[in-house]
Parts: sequence; C-alpha cells; structure tokens
Amino acid sequence: MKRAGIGVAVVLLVVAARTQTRGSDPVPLRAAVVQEATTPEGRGALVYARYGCAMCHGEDGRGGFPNANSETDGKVPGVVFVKEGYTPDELRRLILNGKSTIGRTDANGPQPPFRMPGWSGDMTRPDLDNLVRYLISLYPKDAGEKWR
Amino acid sequence: MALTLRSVVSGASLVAFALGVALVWMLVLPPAAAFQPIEFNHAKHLPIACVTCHTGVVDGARAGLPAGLFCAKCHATAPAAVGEDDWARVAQAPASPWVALTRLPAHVRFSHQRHVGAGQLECASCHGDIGTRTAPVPRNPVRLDMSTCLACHRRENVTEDCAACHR
Repeated sequence: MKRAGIGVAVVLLVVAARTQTRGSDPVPLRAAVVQEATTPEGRGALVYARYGCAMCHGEDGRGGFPNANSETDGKVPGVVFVKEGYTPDELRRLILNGKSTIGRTDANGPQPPFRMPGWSGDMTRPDLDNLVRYLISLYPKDAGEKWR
Repeated sequence: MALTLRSVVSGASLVAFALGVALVWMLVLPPAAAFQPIEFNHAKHLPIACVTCHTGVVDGARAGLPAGLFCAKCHATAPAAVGEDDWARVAQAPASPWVALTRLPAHVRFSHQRHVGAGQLECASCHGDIGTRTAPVPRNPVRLDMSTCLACHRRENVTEDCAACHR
C-alpha cells in the first residue's frame, strides 16, 4: 500500500512537471504583408529596418541613442544630413567597413560602448545601393531654407 | 551482514523503478533547460530584424545563432549588466556561444524557409514571445513536437504526408 502511494506520487510529480514545462502550442501568425517597395529609396528603407540601423540611428534617422563619451555629444549621430558630408561612394565604404573606433569627448574617459558595425560580406550590392539612396533621401527638403 | 533474497529483490525493484522514472522523464518531458553564457536581452534588440542575427531563417533550412564576434560588431565593450569576463568569453568565441533551445531529431526534416519564407509565418508562431523577453528563457516558450506540428498542419490545411517531414 505504501509503495503504491509512492508510485502514485511519482506519477503525479512527473505529470505536474510536464505541465509546468511543456509551453503553449504553436499558433500560426501570418507576417504582415509588406507592400513591395517600388523605388530604390523605398527598398533602402526596408534595408535600413532589416539591418537594425534604426536601433541606434533612430526610426526617423535623427539619432540620439546614448553612446557615453562619444565625440558626437555622447549620442549616436543622426543620418538625415549625411548628404552634406559624404559622397555616395564614401557612404558605401562606411556602411561596408563600419567604424571600429568611435572618437571620445574626454580622451581620458571610457571607451564609448557602441560602434558602427560594418556589413561587408553580409549586405548585397543592391541592398547597399538602395540604402545609400534612402539615406540621401532623408535630407530635409527645407534644409537650405534654414540657413538663410 | 548476509544479504537475504528478499532484500536483493527489493533492491532490484527499486533500481527498476528508478530506471522507469528516468525513462519516463527522458521520453515525456521536454529537453533539459538551456543556460546561456550571458543574460541576453531580446527586448533591447527588438528594432533589429530577427533575420539579421538568426541568418538563414527566411531562406535556409536552419536559423543560425550568431557568433560572439557578430555581437562585438556593435558592442565595443561589455553590455550593461554583463561581466567583463563573461563578455570576453562570448565576444572572442570562434563559434556561436549560444545554446539552441530546440533540437531536431535526426529522422526529421524541418525547413525555416518553407515556414517563414514561403509560408510567411511570424517567428512568434513557433517561438512565442521570446523576442520580447528581457532575459534568456530555459526552453522554447512554445511546445514543438510532432503532435503540435501536425495540429498546425491540419488547421492550416497543409500536407500531413509522412515523407514531407520524415527522412
């Protein structure tokens, strides 16, 4: 009788453990249908999202993600004005090679925790070209007006 | 202290009982919990598409686990809440340091491309809320075995042919 009790207890233990650890059942969730982008800039926006550029440079490209002691005011810089500072070829090189060392505001301070990854070997040439087109397209239409 | 026949039989049945429990444990319960080398926070990485780190998930059979060097592409220093030693082990690992949460038996074929690429399923269909977790989970949040695969195939009216999934 005592043994039977132990047996039942063990079976209940196994069933309880299984219930606790089995997880839920799969539920088929359909991916949102993404409209196929028709322009290079539109396709570039998808590349920007896919490679997680928005993680640091922001969904709107205006940057701001904290990067302590980085030379750009302790934040990851925005990309909306890259058209002013880079040629398309320079941008391609920067995206492929990344920036392994980020300049410091305080030369004696800590290393900024984040750096720009290079996507050489991961990003296809069409994706790269579309991304560059997209980045250049972020330049505000009224940017010139603001200087006057 | 002489062994009596009764005590030997009792010992043998105890061993058999223990083996039985172990067998049930191995066959019925999910795989042992996986422990990751660092406290990876999926939620913090949400703006990055799953496929960026889990390469192959859209166009390959397997979804990859990134090498530590891949993490170090962005992280110049140990991420917050990760010890320098742990980080050094991860960032310098030549192969992926992560422990897979799912295990495909040798006699089963599974293609991520068919499910995610062609079938347009969200990763959450089979991996639940893992993408929003702030700490590693010991097991895949969703139970993945033949019964749950078949239930989904029936519901979705896709093939239940044995040869479609079994070698």
